[in-house]
Amino acid sequence: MDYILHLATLVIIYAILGLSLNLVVGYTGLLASGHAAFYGIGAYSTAILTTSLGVNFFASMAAGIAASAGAAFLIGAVLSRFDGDYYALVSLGFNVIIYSVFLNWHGLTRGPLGIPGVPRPALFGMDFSSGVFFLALAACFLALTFLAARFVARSSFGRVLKSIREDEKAIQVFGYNTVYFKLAIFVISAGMAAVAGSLVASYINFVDPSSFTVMESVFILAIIIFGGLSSLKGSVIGALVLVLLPEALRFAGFPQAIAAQMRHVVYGLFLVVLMLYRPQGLFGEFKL
Amino acid sequence: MKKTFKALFGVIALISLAAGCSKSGKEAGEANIIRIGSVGPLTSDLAYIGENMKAAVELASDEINSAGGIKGKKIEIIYEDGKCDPKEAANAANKLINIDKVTAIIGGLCSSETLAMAPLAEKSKVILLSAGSTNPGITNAGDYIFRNVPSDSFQGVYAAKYVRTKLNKQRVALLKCLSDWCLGVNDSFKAEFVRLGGEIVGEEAFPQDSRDLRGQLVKIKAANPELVYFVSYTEGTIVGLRQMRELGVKAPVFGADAWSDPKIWESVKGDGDGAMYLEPANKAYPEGFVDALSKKTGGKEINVYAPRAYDALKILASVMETAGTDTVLIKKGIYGVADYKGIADNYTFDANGDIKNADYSVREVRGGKAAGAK
Amino acid sequence: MEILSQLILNGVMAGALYALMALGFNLIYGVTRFFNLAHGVLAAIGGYAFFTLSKMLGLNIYLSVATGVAIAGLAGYGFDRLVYSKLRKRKASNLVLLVASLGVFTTAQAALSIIFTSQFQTLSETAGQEALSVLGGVVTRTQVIIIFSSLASMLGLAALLNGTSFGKAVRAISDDEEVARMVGINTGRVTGYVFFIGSALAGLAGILVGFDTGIQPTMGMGLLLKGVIASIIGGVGNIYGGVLGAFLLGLVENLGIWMIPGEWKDAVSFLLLIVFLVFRPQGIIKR
Repeated sequence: MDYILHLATLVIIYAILGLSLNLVVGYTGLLASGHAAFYGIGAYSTAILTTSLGVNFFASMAAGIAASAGAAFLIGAVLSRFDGDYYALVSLGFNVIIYSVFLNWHGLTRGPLGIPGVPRPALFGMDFSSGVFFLALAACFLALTFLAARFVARSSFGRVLKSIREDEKAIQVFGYNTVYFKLAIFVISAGMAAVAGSLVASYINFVDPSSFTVMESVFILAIIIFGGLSSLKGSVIGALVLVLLPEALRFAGFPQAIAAQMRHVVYGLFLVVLMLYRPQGLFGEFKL
Repeated sequence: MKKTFKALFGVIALISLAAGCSKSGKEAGEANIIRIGSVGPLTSDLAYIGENMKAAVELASDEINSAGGIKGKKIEIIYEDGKCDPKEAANAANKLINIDKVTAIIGGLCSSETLAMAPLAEKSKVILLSAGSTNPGITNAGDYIFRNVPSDSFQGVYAAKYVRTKLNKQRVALLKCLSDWCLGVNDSFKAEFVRLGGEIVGEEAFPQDSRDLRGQLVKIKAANPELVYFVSYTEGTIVGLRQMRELGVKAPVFGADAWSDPKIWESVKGDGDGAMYLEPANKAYPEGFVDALSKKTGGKEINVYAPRAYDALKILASVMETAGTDTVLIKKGIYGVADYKGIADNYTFDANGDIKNADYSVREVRGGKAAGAK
Repeated sequence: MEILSQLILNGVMAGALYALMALGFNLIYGVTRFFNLAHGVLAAIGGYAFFTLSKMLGLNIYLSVATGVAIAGLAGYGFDRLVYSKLRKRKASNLVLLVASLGVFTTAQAALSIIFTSQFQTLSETAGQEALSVLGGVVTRTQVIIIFSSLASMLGLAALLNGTSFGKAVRAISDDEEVARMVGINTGRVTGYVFFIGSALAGLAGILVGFDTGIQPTMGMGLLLKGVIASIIGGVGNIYGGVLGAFLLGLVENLGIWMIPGEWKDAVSFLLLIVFLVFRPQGIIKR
């Protein structure tokens, strides 16, 4: 039972990440491949503030969102002039840069030593350290994120985003300053990713740079592509499957020596087959 | 679309349910087996150490079982891949503790693994005994958390004393990899060396997986040190030593215990002559042990942590002979272990779950082989 | 002064390796227009192919290199046949191709780890390779070979593209695939050959890196990223640009860490990329 709680919590965290990234990639059509950076900023904000300054978890999450949004604002200002592959490459570059900061700025992040002892949330004397309570808390955040994402998607703001995806020049003709819109959604998305980061820091009680590499960003991309771009429901289901898949494979009984690599082989083949036969993912409306 | 959605959901639910049920079903029918978990990097950069340690644990478990097991019950080791990653280790520990219902876990290797697993083990009162994690932070990680390998704080200090007083070096440059282990050892060396009146003339770092240290070495060469204290794992050391030779860095090198990997000296050949390093004063391994372990590893060299992993399981088993599977009793038992004569060392645990003695021997490399230094 | 020359030499060495990756990447990108994540793993395939032939089967070194390079080329060609061309026929978007290439990369890298284990291997025989003193700095024989191979590849490729009808076909497809097809060029076949050549270059890079430092199944991504940055700085799709960009990248990286601690090297590369993209997005040499 505890194991299922554990997996469910991870699924929720990745679902939040997926939703946040989907807004930028699925709705706006920008291939942001550095999202793990914002995930990391949220996680480190919580880890640093709760361990060194004794700040309350929820306050640290707010700080994480602010820090992440701030970084996104600066990064987004540069990114907004690009599109397509260049956008992907530059956002990846920012991921590498932020990862280097996590790894090398020892004074702030303790570098590869990581920050242990991140506490579970506590609010008004209610302690969320038990697995069930934490799961409930995480689920609340997921619900909030989902509602926020849906609100954005269905609003006129969301319609502009989709128009940018379909034909940016056309909508510019109508007088929309697409740079602002692209920046805005990027910042919002970064803030959401930070929420997931704060949750994971508090859940595993430990943060280190290795969780925020480019490969992690790519994993989040895979989740939303599998689930279907611009399908919010798809992002959640995508997280469910892609988080459970390696765990299910753990039981597949590969010979121990190569079990982990075999999982990667299966995972890679899964992606290839998916792209060949169902690129729009499960629920994508975005016909790739 | 709705149908596909339901079907998919159903499939996933089934998988998770099956996963959850299969293991516990098995457990119910086999109350005569003692389950112990083993977590370490079976993939990732440090897989060569992880695989080695796994073989050692296997060997110990085979021996325990052929001698009749613990209190007549056989032991079963369940291996999980920690990937030297805290999230993976936490996942692995979760599975071991909650599904496999292990009594204890031998692991992790990397301190990041152990630190991530510690809160889980502590909360569930499962014994966690690491044979490889040396981060000083583990000393206070919990009541159920132990390690039979000395904390990094010892090694750097010993090396600093040796370099300063025995080798009489005044000006030293530091070259360290960016991992928790490298940094821990490096920092404890630096602090002690400066305390003894030495001078650090340069300090360079490189990412653990970097294979090109030339930029860092050029800067070190420019600082003209009397010795380079080079803390790194196998791969970094191989390229580092070769590139030092290429670039003409003449200063002698001194390393940490990861250099006991013979693969380094076989690869660098002449470039390694004169290098010195510290090793936990592991006693000489008995022939029988070396042969048996070589068979398990398929002839691969024995890593310095592998005998510790072997000892870890053996210590656990010996405590469990008296304490059974009650982890409160096992815990007490481990704290009480004094002068247990293992393969690698004689162990006495202190009140924090660390081992008290941290003795090192200095090795010097000549002609591709290491020997005790004078 | 000596340090400066050494750093410059280091930069030139690094640049030469990145140039090989950039050449291959540029060539393929010019024709297919997608960000091929799998290009990196071909370097590893080349390196391991050589390792198997030379160390395990004991074949002559030159033969092993040639065969290793060819194997990498064939692997790239195979990926195209099996995966990418099918997707292109369907007019799949770049996003799909990127994810598919990610899948190929993950699978291939894991397969190499299974077959050869994750351990690091050095390819060169001699330790303490003879170092030659050049302009106050030191280079090894391997590094000189790297530079020559890189320049030779560039010249060879340039000759191929400018002097042969195959080269013309490639340039035509880079300009506009639709038109090229209408004019009668068998775009599928030409693209396949392009994949072979580009992948072979990556394989060569992998073997050379193996001699210089060593090989590991995970070596691909890092090399690829540098190659891509070099291509973009130099001007994507342009052969000479990619090589220029590669040398610039190598020099900036190595000279940069004179001032900044060495661990920031990767960040410096990307920072350079971003600076270029902000101020001169078309790269050094415009298309």
